[in-house]
Amino acid sequence: MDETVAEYIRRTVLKIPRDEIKSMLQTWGFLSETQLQTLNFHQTKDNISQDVVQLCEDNSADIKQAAVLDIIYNHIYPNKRIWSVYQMNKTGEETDFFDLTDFKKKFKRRLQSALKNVTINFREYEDNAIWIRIAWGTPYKKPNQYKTSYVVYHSQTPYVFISASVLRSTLPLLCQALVVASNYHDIREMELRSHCLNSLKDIAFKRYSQTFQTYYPRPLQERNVAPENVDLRIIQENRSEKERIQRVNREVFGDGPQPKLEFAQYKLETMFKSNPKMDVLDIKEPFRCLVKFSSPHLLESLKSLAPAGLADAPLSPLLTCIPQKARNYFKIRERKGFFPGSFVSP
Amino acid sequence: MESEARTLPSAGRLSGAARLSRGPLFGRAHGRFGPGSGGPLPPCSQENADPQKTAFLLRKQWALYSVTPLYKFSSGKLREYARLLGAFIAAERHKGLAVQVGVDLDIQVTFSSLPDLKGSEQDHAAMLVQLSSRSSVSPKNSEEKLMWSGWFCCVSGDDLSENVPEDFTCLPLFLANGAESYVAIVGSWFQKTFDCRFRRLAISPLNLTWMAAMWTGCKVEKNASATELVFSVPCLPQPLDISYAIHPEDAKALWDTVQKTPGEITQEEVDLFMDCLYSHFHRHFKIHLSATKLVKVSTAIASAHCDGIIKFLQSKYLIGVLMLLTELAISQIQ
Amino acid sequence: MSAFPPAREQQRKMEEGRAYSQDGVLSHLEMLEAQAHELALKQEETEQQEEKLARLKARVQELRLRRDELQAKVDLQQKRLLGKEGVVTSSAPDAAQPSDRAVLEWKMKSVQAMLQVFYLTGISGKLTKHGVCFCISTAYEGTYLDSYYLDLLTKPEVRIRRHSVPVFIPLEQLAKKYLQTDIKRFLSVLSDHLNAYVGRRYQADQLQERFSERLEGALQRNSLCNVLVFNYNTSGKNQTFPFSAKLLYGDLCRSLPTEAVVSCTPDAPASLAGRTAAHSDVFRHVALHKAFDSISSPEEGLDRAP
Repeated sequence: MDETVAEYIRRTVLKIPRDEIKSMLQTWGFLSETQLQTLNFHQTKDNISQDVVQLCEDNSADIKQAAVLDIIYNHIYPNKRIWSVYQMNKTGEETDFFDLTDFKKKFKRRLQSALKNVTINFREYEDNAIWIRIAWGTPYKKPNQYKTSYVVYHSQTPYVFISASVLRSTLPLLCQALVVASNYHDIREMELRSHCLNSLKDIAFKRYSQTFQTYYPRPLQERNVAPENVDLRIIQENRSEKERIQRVNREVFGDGPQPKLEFAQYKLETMFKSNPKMDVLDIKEPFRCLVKFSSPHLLESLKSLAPAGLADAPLSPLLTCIPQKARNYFKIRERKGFFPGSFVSP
Repeated sequence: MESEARTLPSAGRLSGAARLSRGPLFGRAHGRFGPGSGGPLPPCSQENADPQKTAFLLRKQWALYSVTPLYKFSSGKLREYARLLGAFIAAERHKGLAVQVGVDLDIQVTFSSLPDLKGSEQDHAAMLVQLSSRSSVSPKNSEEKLMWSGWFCCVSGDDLSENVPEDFTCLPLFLANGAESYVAIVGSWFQKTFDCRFRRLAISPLNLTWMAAMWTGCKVEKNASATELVFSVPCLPQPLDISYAIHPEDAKALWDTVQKTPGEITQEEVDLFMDCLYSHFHRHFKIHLSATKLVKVSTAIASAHCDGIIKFLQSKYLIGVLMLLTELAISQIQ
Repeated sequence: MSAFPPAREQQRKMEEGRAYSQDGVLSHLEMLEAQAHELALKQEETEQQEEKLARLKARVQELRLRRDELQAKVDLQQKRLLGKEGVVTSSAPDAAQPSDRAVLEWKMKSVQAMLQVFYLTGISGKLTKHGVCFCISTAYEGTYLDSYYLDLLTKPEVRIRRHSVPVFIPLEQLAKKYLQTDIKRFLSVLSDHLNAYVGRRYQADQLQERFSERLEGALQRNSLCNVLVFNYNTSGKNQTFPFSAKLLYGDLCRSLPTEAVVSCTPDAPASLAGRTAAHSDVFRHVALHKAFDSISSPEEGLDRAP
């Protein structure tokens, strides 16, 4: 077995949490059940990885098989990578019969005609997702297995989820191959990125919880916690304002859990308009700022802003449009003309 | 409006916040630089400090501490102090208290003076303490590696130094870079030897707004980095951080329209500057930044975190920033 | 004790008989005969009544069942058509100008009429602040499957605001074709697409679930389920899968394939190879899981024969 293959398998095994190594090797299916039984999973991970490598040596594994193990790992831990959504466009209207074999063949041919040294692996999953792993080389260099690109594609959809290689120059070629293989015309980045692949899918496929008004909204359950000695009118006003915020928030965000994004970024080039109360001259040039929101669960955070009294209800459409516009990177400029308070994002 | 130059916007005096002001620390009106209390002008302004000698202080993260005056400290005995501190560290290591000290490492202690870092005649020269390691296995050919450094300084700390008894030395600001366990060891030696007390120096959001305004107003060369304000939104089920970075030219243009009192900066101006930024933000996002917590300010001059961490970025403004930090340290001691 | 009353009755009747005997035995017999006849008639009547009761009870049972069924249907429909009431009670969007108001009212009326039309077709809707929100419920062979939503803006022109239609359904194309001109057509074609899609998916899922032992691995399918490829055998006992099928669903509004290519491995017995045409025919005309039911039984007989 190739030295680099052995090392690659060793490092991949080291990445797996100890109590999942066995099940991942089973999913891999390269080592027989009898071979797996000889492994001692209670020793240090370093030793486990050495033993796995030894068994792979016996089965004379090659890079193709090692790559499959890497796909399995990445499929279970997609959040270790950052994913970006791309949209493909078609000129014609015909819906084609998507043939997986044909797709794979075209994809491979496109890449291999441009690069001799490239490792390409496919793996299909139950949700009609095709996972593609590509390790890139150069005409004179073997593929670098540690700087891979990952692509997740659902057949017959215009969306592709790419976790690009750090070798940025490979991206155009990858995009070309995808367009060719899936019979599309062109491809563009949607400016939607996250670690959470599933949330990106939910956003792109519009599977996230949206509220559709086909039923009567339930009356709100209010608890009476207000102290008795407070003016009843204030309580009433307070309560109705709270209810309004809740209602508006529900209209905007829906009832269900939000898709998981970790950040949103806005490049603002809008006019600075000072409050008339503030004695500040208006600045005639656009005021250039870069605003970044970050949170382990951005949309849930944004959803809780208005109820916590930290923001107006409804929250700005710039923030609430994220799942609907399917992007979390924006460039905002002043809209010329009509509404003074509205902005455009190209 | 009455203005009381160079007064700290400390919490205790917040009720009169509108009247607080200070002289612009840098950037303009150099003639007024220095204490407004009538003392002589400092012999060295920031331009006179040799940038070469202080370059190593830049672009590193320094944790801030306030230190009460040192009793019977003598700047003539630095060599002896180094030896004593070295012995102390070795002893601690034997006791097994010093955690991150490797067994095969030999720790070298150096004390040195940084005479450039002062704001007025009364200021005591800053003092640098460095710990470096040398492998004890082959001490000859291995290079010394700097592991930790800390320095004491006082820039325009006249408020304090004028009021302490004779045997005391005022170096109220201590800055450390490196593992925190060394701060504990070095700190405990200083406490034992000079009967002083170390305390972590946090920077309040109010002081951060001052830094944001003052540093934004400084002239810097083209392509300077943005004025970035980082806010943390409290009390949400999921934490949320907001970074609000403003192009340096635009931020300065805004500050220049806000800043109207020649030769000094007032609390009102700082508040107005922040309110303008908050309202611009609110116009876009409908979020009230005033209800969130300002945790970090970064500009081309320096960056400061509310936990008491500072990074100096321009040697030209080093003294100015240190003067502000000395003020904060003194107010914490008092 | 229980035996006594009839015995006593008999005694009483015999005494009566003895009393009549004075008038002659014949007349007494006549009377007895008449009594017996009367008794028989009564008995018959009771029997008939009992029979009728049983019949009626059965009918009641039957009707009850029917009522429950209908009730369930009504419930289901109400669930889907909750919007109907909303249409009536939702206040008109706050129109600023009176001239707009008339237009809006007209629009509302036409939308209401449209909602009535779609009442029973699995499409329901509700007026919203911005326009109408439609819900398209899908079903296959009486099984309710997914519901999809479509939030339409009606001002200034009909436009899709939000929706939950799967991305591979050619919604944009359908909208381009019909949305502005014929919204009924738009909804019905979209509903056809959705129903056909869930139908194809349902069949594939059923096949996978119920006949996994006759399939070699998983079905190969795509998102629209308009190409299905699988290898199979006709009796689950075999470890070999001599047949391979590729079903192409050329009409996206139908849940049956337009083309079914079935082939057989070259080493399979001729008896099997001869069946491919029949299989292909069944696949094209019967739901996939039912097709499997029908092609398996004769084959099993064949397998046992030699």
